[in-house]
Amino acid sequence: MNWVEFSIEVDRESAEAVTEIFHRFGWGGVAIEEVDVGGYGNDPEINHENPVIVKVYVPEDENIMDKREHITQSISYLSMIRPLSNLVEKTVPQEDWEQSWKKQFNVHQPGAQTVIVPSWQDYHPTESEIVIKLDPGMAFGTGLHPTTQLCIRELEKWVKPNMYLLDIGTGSGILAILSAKLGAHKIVALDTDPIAVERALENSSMNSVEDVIEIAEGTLPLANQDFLGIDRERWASGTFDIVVANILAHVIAELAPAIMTALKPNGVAICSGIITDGFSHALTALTEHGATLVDATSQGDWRALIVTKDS
Amino acid sequence: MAQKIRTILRLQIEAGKATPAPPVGPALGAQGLNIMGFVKEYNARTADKVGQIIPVDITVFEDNSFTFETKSPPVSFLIRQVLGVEKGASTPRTETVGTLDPNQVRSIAETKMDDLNAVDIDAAMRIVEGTARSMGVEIGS
Repeated sequence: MNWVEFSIEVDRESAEAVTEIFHRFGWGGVAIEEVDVGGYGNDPEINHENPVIVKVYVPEDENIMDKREHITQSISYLSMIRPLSNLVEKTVPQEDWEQSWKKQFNVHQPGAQTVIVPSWQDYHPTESEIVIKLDPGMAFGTGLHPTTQLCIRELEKWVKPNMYLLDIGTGSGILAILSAKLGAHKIVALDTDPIAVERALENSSMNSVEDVIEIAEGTLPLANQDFLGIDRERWASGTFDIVVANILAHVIAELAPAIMTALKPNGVAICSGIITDGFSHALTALTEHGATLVDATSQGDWRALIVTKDS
Repeated sequence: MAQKIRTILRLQIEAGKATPAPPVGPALGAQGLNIMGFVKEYNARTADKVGQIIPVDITVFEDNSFTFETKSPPVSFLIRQVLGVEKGASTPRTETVGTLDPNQVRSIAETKMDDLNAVDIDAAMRIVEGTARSMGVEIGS
């Protein structure tokens, strides 16, 4: 059975009214799409002058003629109260939506060795490849984004066996998992989002590296618990060979003193998530706290900073 | 993580009963989002509100990850609740199912102010009035 999608582009003041009509005659609920959204994390930038697109779906069965008439008539009534654009109708073929979204997420290789493999796919790696099993979901870090890819390539370069590593803003846990697979001895992975912490725990377990990674909700300078068997007053001080922070330029700048404190002398901080124009802000904050720039990489508009802690 | 936002999807669906069928499947599928991940999480978080429409804002990030936040029931639900009616008029231009006074309009607008993304309370009240009229509900003076 196919579906008929009815959609209409409306201003925000009309959206609720259209939604009400669609609820009355549609199936399963209503979808509203924002147009042209920007911003980061929990801080979206929405232009309230922009319209939204309201959509509803109706099964293309023996009742479709009636439903079509009701929807068209109700929208027509509403347009007498408020001006509305045209109702658009299109056929949407029935598909196995539970499975079909997976076509958009395939095996990909964001680094020289690192290969991201969705849990539903089989993959036979070569000897030099490192496989991370990962499903996209409710935590950032699928390996598809430039900021994550920049970190992956740097971790491949810097992580050596027996190192201690701190991952700030771990998201899905992808960078901590890679570090574990590259041989890091112990990793502390923090995120302020409890859902990300849950996903990182699941993903580290799916990749059989949960014994190496301690994952917790929190951030620098002090998280809320002891790690690596070290008292929490001390663990953030000079413990780590590598700190990786795939966050945002202004957060890196805020955390710069704590990042540099957490590093051992000659330790390396990999700071990514930096849009080109936030580069100097983040770099200045790090160098003011004892960092020396070693390298800077870029991909598209995104940049990563690699610094060492002066001994 | 550097979560750059790609878009925001808003769904109005029944609490505890989301499925991969429309509107969830086509809306999330078009963005390449993990549909079953969303369905399970939404149903778990709204299990205690079955029978209500619980809107949800899904923030989609550039790497196909997402987060979501549930909202209070839609304006039409609150209007029906205030008026004690089960549904709106099928022909709203000719049929009236009730009347909201300005205080009731303001009260609903204040309840939904944050979710409506309205610039001010007047804009929120206009949204409530427009929704009411589309349901065959008059606005009293």
